[in-house]
Order: sequence, then structure tokens, then C-alpha cells
Amino acid sequence: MSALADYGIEPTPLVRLERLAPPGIHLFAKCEWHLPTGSVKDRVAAGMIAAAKAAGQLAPGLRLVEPSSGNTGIALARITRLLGIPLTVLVPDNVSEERIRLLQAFGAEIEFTPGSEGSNGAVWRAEKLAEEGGFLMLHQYENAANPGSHQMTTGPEISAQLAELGLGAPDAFVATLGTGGTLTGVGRHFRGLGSPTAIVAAEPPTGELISGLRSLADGYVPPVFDPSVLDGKILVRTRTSIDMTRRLMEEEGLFVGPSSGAAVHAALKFARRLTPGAVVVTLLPDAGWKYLSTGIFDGTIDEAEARALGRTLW
Amino acid sequence: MPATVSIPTVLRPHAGGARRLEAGGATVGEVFDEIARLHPRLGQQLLSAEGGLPVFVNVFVDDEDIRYLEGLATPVGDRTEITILPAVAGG
Amino acid sequence: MTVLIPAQVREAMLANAYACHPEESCGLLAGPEDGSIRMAYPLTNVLHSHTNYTIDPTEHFRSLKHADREGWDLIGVFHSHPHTQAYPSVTDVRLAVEPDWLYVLVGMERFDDPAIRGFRIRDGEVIEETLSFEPGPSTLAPYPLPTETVPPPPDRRSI
Repeated sequence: MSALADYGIEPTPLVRLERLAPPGIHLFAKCEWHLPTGSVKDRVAAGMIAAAKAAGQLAPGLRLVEPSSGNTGIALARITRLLGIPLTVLVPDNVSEERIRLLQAFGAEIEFTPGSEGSNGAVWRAEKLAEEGGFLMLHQYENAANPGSHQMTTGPEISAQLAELGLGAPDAFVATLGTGGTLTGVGRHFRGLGSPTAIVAAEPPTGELISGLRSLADGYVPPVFDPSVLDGKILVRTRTSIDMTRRLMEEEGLFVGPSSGAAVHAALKFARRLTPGAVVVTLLPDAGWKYLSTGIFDGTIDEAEARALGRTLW
Repeated sequence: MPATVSIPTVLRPHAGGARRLEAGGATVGEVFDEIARLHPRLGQQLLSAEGGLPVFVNVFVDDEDIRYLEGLATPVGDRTEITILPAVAGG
Repeated sequence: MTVLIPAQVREAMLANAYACHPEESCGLLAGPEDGSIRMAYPLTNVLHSHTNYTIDPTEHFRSLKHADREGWDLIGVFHSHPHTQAYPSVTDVRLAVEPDWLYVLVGMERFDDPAIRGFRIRDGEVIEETLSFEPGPSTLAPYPLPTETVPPPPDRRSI
């Protein structure tokens, strides 16, 4: 029974990647699209809401504001609707129609921010609302409940699932680096058990890399992402992510989003350093549905890469 | 003759709009204490809760960063020029 | 009202960005009372980080002294985002202390076609300034020279 079961967080399947795994390496993947809104962010949203509740922040009259129009926004929209907490999601007015409809379907109120300001614009406007307008902002990049949720759920699930197969702690855990919550939380879980599991990041070439958010008043705000937890960092180019995402579909029959391709590529690359019999676990954040309109599944790899250039895919 | 402290734009409102202040003292710390007596809000910006220099404030005494000298204990003579520069940073 | 970026200032900011990539580059802008930009000082990011910058304090001080000698003020700061858009990040907004400065961002999302945009950051709010780029000989000759950045029209849906 999961620590966040009250919020609908149950263990996600751990599947074996038989065809992509190098000879002698046992490669497993957590399939996070089995979570309520279809992404790993369901854990983070649940964790942050649970923490807010424990801190007594969920008082009547509370309104939440959230600048993420992606998986985090969607995950929060679901939970806040179930709890009856109004949520306003700030969305750049040039995001896809799918995103907007998805957020609305889950019950979020949407307010548009200028597309020219990008996602950064949505963030500072959300902070302003939180400061002035009496909204609560959960700050996934600064909220300890983000890695906390992974330490409470993801890490223990992996340990239990491997134990069922008669395996001990994995030799490596590989995941994409966004907020750094997954790597930090799972890393702390394995460190806490004294396991020598290597924690490896798949790093995107573009996207909102935020490490070390700072504020004048505090001098330095400890980031969600604890770099000391990492044993390796592998940069994965957009083209490579797309290529591996397609291979996951073609060779393993898994329909996943591009960050999953990045994670598996990094996992395979890291696995080359390991001895036969090694166990590697990776995490696949979401499925491919949301990305159909980005064209990464269509045409040649060159065409797909060209369409993807300049976009933040993950 | 007291030391002259040049006040950066962002701190001028706390100094009654002044660009430069004069204050006596044998060290930078003493000069700041004197300034804090006359301008308490400015004093709060120049000295952290523990009484040290805040991370985002840089102080130069006659062209040298006091962090490479003796910090707030850096001696100050007559007509010494003290320049306060807020850190320029971002991400 | 557009802010003119002299050709040499633009080249200095771009060269600094490329030289520091994939770390964030940074520097200060100086100019006379009329608000024009005369000099870009490319300075050291003491953090040497992909995601954060802090201008070397001693170099900041030297730039201030040089600007004083020329009769200029320090009027802005430029820095690069090696992988993301030319728009202030959360950290940029939080750490911006000068309400009158021009905050210039060099965005290298498209490595071969960097974007340069300018902003005022006041009370946690970001206001874009239109920049116009002085034509001049460019080391980036093969790439199209932007003539002006144009903020979006005012009737856009926004809060």
C-alpha cells in the first residue's frame, strides 16, 4: 500500500526490456503512465498537496496558482478538483489546443499569459499572484515534497518489485533530469538502505534546467535537486531521444513520450560499463499520446528532429 | 576626516536618497555601525543577522574587495573611499 | 521607444555568450546620461554554471571605475541562457535589484541563431523593451541580422 494511496498513487508496473537490453544486463522500466493522469507528476502533485495539508495550508477559501501547463499542471488539476480546491493554471497563449483542453477537462481554470514570454513568463506571473493575490503556489522546483514523494513511493516500489523477482538493489537507476525530484528522491531511498546503486541523470539539451534557485533574502535556496546524489550525468540530444522513443515502440511495443526515449538511451549507455548480471532500472515518465501532434512519430528521423528543434519536448 | 561611502542606487531610498554618506570609524564594520545608527534600514541591508556581510553585498575599500582583506575588520583611514556594490546575479 | 544596440555591443555580447557556452556568460552595460548604450563589458561568471551566474565583484568594480572615467553610468547587465529562451528566468526576476537597468538576455536555444531581447524588471514584474540593432560589419555575416525585436501586439489575451 503506497504512502500516497489516498491520492490514488499505487505502484506502477516494472517491465523488463528484453530486446533493447545489452547481452547479460537486466533492464527494467517503471511505466508511469499507469498513474491517474498518465504521468510521473501524479506522485509529485500528491506529495505536495499532502504536505500542504499536513502543514495546515489547505484552509477554506484557499486558491492555488500553478504555472505548469504540462504534466504537473494536469496532475494538480485532478487532485485539486477532487478536493474541491480552486486551481488557476497560467498558460502561455501559444501552447497547443490539446494542452488547454486537457487542463480544462481535469477542471482547471486557465488564464493566458503572453506567448512571447514563454513558460518563464507564466512563472513570474504566478509568483506575483501568489505574493499579491493570496494564491498558494506549490513551487515544484523548490518543494521538498517533490523528491519526498519519490523517496516515499517510487524508490520503495522499485525495491519491492525487484525483491519479488529475487533481485536485490539495482546496480543503477537512470532517470531524466527535470526538477531533479525523481533522481534526488529515489537516490535518497537507496542511500538510506545503504545500497551502492548508481544514480544517473539523463540530461536534456534544451528545456527549463533549473538548479539552484536563489533569492536575495535567503542567499541561496536549497534546490529540490541535490547534485551530490548523482553518480553520472548523460546528455541526450533531441534526435537521440526521438530515435529511442521510436525504438521503444518498434522493439518493445511501448508507446512512450520522448523523455522516456532519453531515459532508456542513457540507461543503455550507462549499462555498457556494467558487468553481466547487472540490474538497471529506468523510469518512463509518460506515454506518447500527448506528443502525437509534435510529429515525432511521423516521417523520417530527420523530419521529426527538424519539427522538434526549438521546442521543449520534455 | 571621515570615510566616504558611496551608496548604490538600489540602497539610496534607505539612505534618504543620498549617493554618498560620510561616517567615522576605524574599520569598515565601525563605519557601517555608524551608518546604521543614522539610517537603520540601510544598516539592515549592510549587515546580516549574524553581524557579518550579507552574501549579495560587495564592499571595496580604495579599490580592494574587503573579502580579500580583513572583511568588516578592514582598517579605514582618513578620506577612505568605501564603495558598496550589490551582487549582479541571476540564472 | 526602442533601445539602440550598437553593432560592437551586440558582437561583444554574442562573442561572450559563445565563448562561455555551455556556461552562462554575463557582463555589464554602460552609457551616458541620455540612456544610450556605449559599452558592453564581458565579465567572468564566477559560478561557471550552465544555469546560474554571478558577476565577478572585482570586475564589476573595475567596470564601474572605467565607466566613471568616461562619464558613464552602469545601465544594464547582459547574460546568456545557453539552452533556453531569451527571457528572464525565475532566478533572474528574483535577483534583479536595479529598477532602471536594462536586462539583456542572449538566448541560445537555437545555437546558430541566438536571440537577443531586453527587459526592465521592477517589483517582480518583467516589461519587455524593444531593441533595435545597429547595422554594421558582423562576424556572424552568414546569419541574418535582426533589425528590431518586436514585442507582441497589446490586444493579446493576458493577465
